[in-house]
Amino acid sequence: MVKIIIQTSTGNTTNMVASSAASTGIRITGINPTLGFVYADADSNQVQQISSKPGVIKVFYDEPVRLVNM
Amino acid sequence: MSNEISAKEIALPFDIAGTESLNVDLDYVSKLLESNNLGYTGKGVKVAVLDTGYTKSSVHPMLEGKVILSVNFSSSPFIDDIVGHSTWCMSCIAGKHILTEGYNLHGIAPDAEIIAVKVLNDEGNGEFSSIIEGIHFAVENGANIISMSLGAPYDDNGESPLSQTVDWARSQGVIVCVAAGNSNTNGSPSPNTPGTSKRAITVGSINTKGAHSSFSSMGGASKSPYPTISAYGGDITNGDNNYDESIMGAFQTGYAGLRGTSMATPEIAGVCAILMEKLGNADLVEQALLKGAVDIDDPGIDRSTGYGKANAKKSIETTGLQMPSKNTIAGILALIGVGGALYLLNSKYHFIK
Repeated sequence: MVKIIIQTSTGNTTNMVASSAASTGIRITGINPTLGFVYADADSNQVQQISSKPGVIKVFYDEPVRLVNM
Repeated sequence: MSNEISAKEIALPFDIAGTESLNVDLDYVSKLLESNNLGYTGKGVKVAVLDTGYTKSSVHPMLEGKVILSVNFSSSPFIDDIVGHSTWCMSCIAGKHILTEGYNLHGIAPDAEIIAVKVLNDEGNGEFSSIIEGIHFAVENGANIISMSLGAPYDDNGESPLSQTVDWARSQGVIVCVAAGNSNTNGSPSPNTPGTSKRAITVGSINTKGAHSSFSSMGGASKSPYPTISAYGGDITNGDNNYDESIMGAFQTGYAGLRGTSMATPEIAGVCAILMEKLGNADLVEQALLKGAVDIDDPGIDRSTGYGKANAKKSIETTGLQMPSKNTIAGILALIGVGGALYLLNSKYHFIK
């Protein structure tokens, strides 16, 4: 499983995509309709499936970030 | 906050023969930035610090009364700043004046208010999603400025969800300051996401001698210039003339000298808070910040320091004619009401009947 961010149009489309993704078995971990992001855990097959769903602009990995120290 | 500039020479535990070691304090940095005695202290400006948290149960003396709102989006269960990195950054922006062990410490914009947003866990790690939600929270809760001393060491071409969210915040009228990163190796392109965001003010580091810090990430990335501007993040060099410089600030329950673009970033956020108090508009703040920068390194905008080293006084001076205050406007209307007229000549208002 990987953590992903599904980019959608903002507003209702975000909720629609989240519902659609959930129906494929993807575990939705968060939704932000203002920014148009759906956060989820998915396997590689599910990532491929959701990428072609209506309303999906792009699927990104939820990449690690660190503090910038020396 | 005296005008005397001094840097303390110290012996660090890892000091070696031939190494010059300096631990400079925040007052020294504020003098280099010329951010003192301008009549602007960040009053009424909210700065969100997206970092390693805020220890509410035992507030650091420099942060007493400074944090007006706090929230935890990290994977750690509690908001406390176990790492200490966030405490340093918050103290740099708005910390109360403290004299300790001969160090003179205060925030660059001591009257600014802090929104503490924990997006990195107790190991200093986070994900795009935690930071995106942190940015959204900050914007929704009235932040004027966001300071982020974090990143991932690669170039996303400004297209990742995180960089897009930085651009969104800026479109909402919020200045976003992001560390350029400490990944420089021999001048190769070394950008950090989301410093690559098209609309971020990406902050590089110089030492207090005014030279590019050896570690500070450099351009050649999708974004140009990268960094946008520079401030004082210390330095560490090896070789015949070793040089080690740290910036003292609040850390965990005490104080420590740290170095990195992490330190330079809240300094720029503090300068932006000063400018925001005066100008009240993100576009004007950004213009003034860049116009006031002092060119260093290669002539003009360059890939090691961007527009150059920040200077709050020069930025204020670039803003030109002072807008009249509300009281002045009320007076003008009263004068017009008694049958006169007002005109502007040589930067002064004149009244004729």
